[in-house]
Amino acid sequence: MTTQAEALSAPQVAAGSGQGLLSWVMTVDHKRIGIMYLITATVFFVAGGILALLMRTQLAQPNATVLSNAAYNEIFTMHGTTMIFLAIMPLGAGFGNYFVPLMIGARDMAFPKLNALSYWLYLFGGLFLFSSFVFGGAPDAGWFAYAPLTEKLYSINHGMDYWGLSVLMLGTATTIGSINFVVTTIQLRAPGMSFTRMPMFVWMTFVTSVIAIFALPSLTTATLLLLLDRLVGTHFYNVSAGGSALLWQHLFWFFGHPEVYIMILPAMGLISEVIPVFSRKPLFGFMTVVYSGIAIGILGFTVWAHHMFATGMAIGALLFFSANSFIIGVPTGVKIFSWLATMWGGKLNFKTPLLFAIGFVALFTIGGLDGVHMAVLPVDWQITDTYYVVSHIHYVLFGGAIFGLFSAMFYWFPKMSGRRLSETLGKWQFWLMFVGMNLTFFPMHMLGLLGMPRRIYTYADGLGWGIWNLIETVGAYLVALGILFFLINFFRTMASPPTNEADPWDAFTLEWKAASPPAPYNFAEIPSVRSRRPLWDEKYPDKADWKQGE
Amino acid sequence: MTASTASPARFRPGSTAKVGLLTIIASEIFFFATALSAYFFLRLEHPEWSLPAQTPTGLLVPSLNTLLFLASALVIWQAQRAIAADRRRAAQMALGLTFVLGLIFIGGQVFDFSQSGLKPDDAAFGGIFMALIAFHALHVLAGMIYLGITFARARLGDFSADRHTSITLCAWFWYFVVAVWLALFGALYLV
Amino acid sequence: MGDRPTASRVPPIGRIRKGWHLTEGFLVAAGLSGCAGSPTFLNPASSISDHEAGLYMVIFYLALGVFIIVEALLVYALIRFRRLAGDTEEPHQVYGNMRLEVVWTAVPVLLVLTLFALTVRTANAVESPKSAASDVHIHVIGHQWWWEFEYPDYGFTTANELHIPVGANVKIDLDSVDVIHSFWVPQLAGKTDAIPGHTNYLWLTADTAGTYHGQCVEFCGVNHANMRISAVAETEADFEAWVQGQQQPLYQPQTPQEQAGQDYIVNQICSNCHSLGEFEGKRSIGPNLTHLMSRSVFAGATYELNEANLRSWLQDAQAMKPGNDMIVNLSSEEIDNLMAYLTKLK
Repeated sequence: MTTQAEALSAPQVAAGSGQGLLSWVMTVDHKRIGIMYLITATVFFVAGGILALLMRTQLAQPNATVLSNAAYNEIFTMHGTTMIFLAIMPLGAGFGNYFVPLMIGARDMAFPKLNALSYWLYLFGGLFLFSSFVFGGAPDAGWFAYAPLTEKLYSINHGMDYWGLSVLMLGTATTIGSINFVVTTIQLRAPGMSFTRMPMFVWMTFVTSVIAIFALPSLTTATLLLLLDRLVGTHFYNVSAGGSALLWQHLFWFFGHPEVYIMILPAMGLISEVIPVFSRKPLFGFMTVVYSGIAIGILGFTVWAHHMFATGMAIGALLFFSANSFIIGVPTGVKIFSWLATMWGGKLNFKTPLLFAIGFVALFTIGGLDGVHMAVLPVDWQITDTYYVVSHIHYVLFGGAIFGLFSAMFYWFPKMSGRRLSETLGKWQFWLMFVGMNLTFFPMHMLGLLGMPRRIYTYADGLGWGIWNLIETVGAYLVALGILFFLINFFRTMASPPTNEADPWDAFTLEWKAASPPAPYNFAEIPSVRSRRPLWDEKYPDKADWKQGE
Repeated sequence: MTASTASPARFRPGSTAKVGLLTIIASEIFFFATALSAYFFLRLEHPEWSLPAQTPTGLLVPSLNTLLFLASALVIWQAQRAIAADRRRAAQMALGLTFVLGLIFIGGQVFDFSQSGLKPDDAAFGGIFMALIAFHALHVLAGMIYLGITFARARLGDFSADRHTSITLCAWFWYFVVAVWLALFGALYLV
Repeated sequence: MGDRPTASRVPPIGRIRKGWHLTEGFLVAAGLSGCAGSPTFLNPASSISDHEAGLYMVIFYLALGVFIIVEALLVYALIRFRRLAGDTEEPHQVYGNMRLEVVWTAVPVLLVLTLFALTVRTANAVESPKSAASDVHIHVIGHQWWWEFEYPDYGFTTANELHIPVGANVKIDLDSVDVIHSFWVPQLAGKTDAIPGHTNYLWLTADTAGTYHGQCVEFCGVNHANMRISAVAETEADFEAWVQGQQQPLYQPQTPQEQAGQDYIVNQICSNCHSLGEFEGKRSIGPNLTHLMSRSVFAGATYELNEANLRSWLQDAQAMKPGNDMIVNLSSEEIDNLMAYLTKLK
């Protein structure tokens, strides 16, 4: 009687695994697609960062003239759109693409060709968006593109058309990718790997993908209606013809809030892999962390109007959203405690992956506590739409998601390339980024409290805002220096000969069983598992998890 | 190593494609749900959109069209039953009939619209009404393309009682577009 | 005009007010509200902002406590549990602790429930005053890129500079003629959006006389940063005097040059946007100029209103506020005429 495991064991070489540019263009191998996502997303991240430096240079002093108001508006719009759709989400998708099949013991994603399509749609969507700088002007109404400002009457040039069409392409790429992750996770897990034995990164990618499947359609609807208004002459958001200005906000934020969990959950999954390995202990309270991720996914759909507290909705409705916004803080806090408890009693090995993971925990705590402030409806009436929010979003997205992604980058670089990134350069990068980001984003709390609104290209002298802005600009340049260290690290490492260590960190999960880099077919024989840490079980059989009943 | 000899459901033939289609359908359900929500949101601000007075051509044509469309769902169900019992010709004919009914449905929609005098740039009502009908029609057309391909493959003898995943998938997608139409019909014409 | 009470009608929550004064001292020491020029609700001039500041301080201290505990545990763990050189033994493998996990879920739930209760209480306290009667009714209209303040009970409209009497209940109807804007004077109240096609309502009462800075706080286009507010809270007598000044009929020209200036405004390009004379309820694209010189700021409250700035504006408004809607090309003679008349419009 043949088991499924034996039937699958004949290696099948994935298409596009040879050498040369054409093999990369034609590839459907999840590892190559993952690398393409990571490289493309890093390039867009650097572009988004340069846009940020331009903004910070303009804001360093009151009444500065580094950028005109029109240029500033294009830049902040492109910064937000780039970081969210072209950097953070694809970095998560890149790691997901590369590692989800490996971690579940599969040979590839469920739909390899669809996988390639997602990537190329993403690349094309991103390039199309950036081409707007050259062809008539970039979008300039914010990444959140509120109507009616985005209607043709108020945004005459084609920038918002580029935005809308790109968003549709990128949204489609995300939806296709999410469908792929969901089906892969459900269908292709190795024998013995029940849902409760999947690695946390796979779990979080799964939850993220389910969220995306339900959230992206709202953005599609909103954007289609906007494009119809702009290009066909309908009146969905045009108040004078029966449309509604608030309709956009509801549709957008119904997507927009789950979107932030789409950005953070994969990073939470990533550090949930790194912290155990570098503490030499399993993740504390695994199922509680899983349930908290699911709770965040579900609750994420019930809080959207906390982005609309100042719109004048009925107080009862606003309090409903306020309540849910408080509740969603609980599962998030649970994760922080779990990571702390994982490190507690462990033997911490302070390599760069762990440094970034610790940075995540420290910085995300601040960002999360900011969020609690904003859930307080009457306080939000003062701090929403100010730099307080800018502080919050960057603590969670930069201190959180980006730090988590860099943690994964250093952790998994040996697996992808057969070489370890330099620890020395990595530590320099970490400290520059950690100090720099705090200098940049902490004073923004003060600015928000002192009355500085968001999305302004300049501000008056004498309001007490100048000094904080100047400090923030210095911090931004420090962060940029840190990123530069990363780029230098990357190129130097790739230029050095590979060491091909399969398991440099003495890790716990299946991807470290494959070679570094893995063969095109990943595993010669599909492994079967008995616990959450199959490699730990193999290497430390007397301490195996399945022997403890885990 | 205690590998089970019974294959888990996730390894059965056709299961991956089925899970894939269900996921796509879940996403599309939310697309229509948000589009319908947009409609209801705009309606809340416009109590003067009172139905059925606002309905372009009255209920006759849309109702007949709806019954026809419902019938097509029954027909494709017969196709599923037929192929499961290896009645290949019956399955082929049912698929073909479903296609034809889909075509008539689209025709009915186009006819109703052209009679209504509504234009997309006519205030928000015209826009949202047409947008919902158009989004749905596009999904029906996608379903019909898949139906057409599946019909052709059935004619070529691709399917049997043991192997007919595509017919199942086609049917599931068809049930989905019919169900969405019922929701739209209710929201736009009846409520 | 009826009697107007001088005290605020919404009594602040007693304990919060006391705690607030203690905190005020702390903040002054910390230098935060030492920025006396900053438009911050932490230096409130109304009961609404006072409530909001008080609640903010409660949340802040709670959050600070959580922050200190979490970060302290983190730092302690990093030091205490670092792997020592040469130690290759694996630590004791711990998978979880159900009791601990329940506690660290339940405690945050209790905390957030408490915060929510405080939220409900303060939201109800600031949402509307206890009395429905308003002492001053202002219709605030957002335009790209200036704020219009119409006083329907007094029959005039003005721009950029808002006057209210201290202690009065001010009821504001808020909307927009174009895109979404948001009205915010931090020291007087939280922000509320000005949405086209949808009127929002806002109440506030100033406790202390002064001039308070505000800005549009919903991104509204190229000059979003230049759509500011100067809110003047003054004694009843001063407010009455101001109202009377706004109600004066339009100054009629007394020299040929002034006449030329007025003619230009009424008959030439200015009339496309600006209105002059008694407000008849029709919205204009640009501000009503009837009592222009009674205001201390202009151009979306981004410039002090004095002769030099006004002349520069007429010469090249685009240079002073790029992208604004005033695109004119005036000859120096036309500018002289206009200056002659405009400077008389007190």
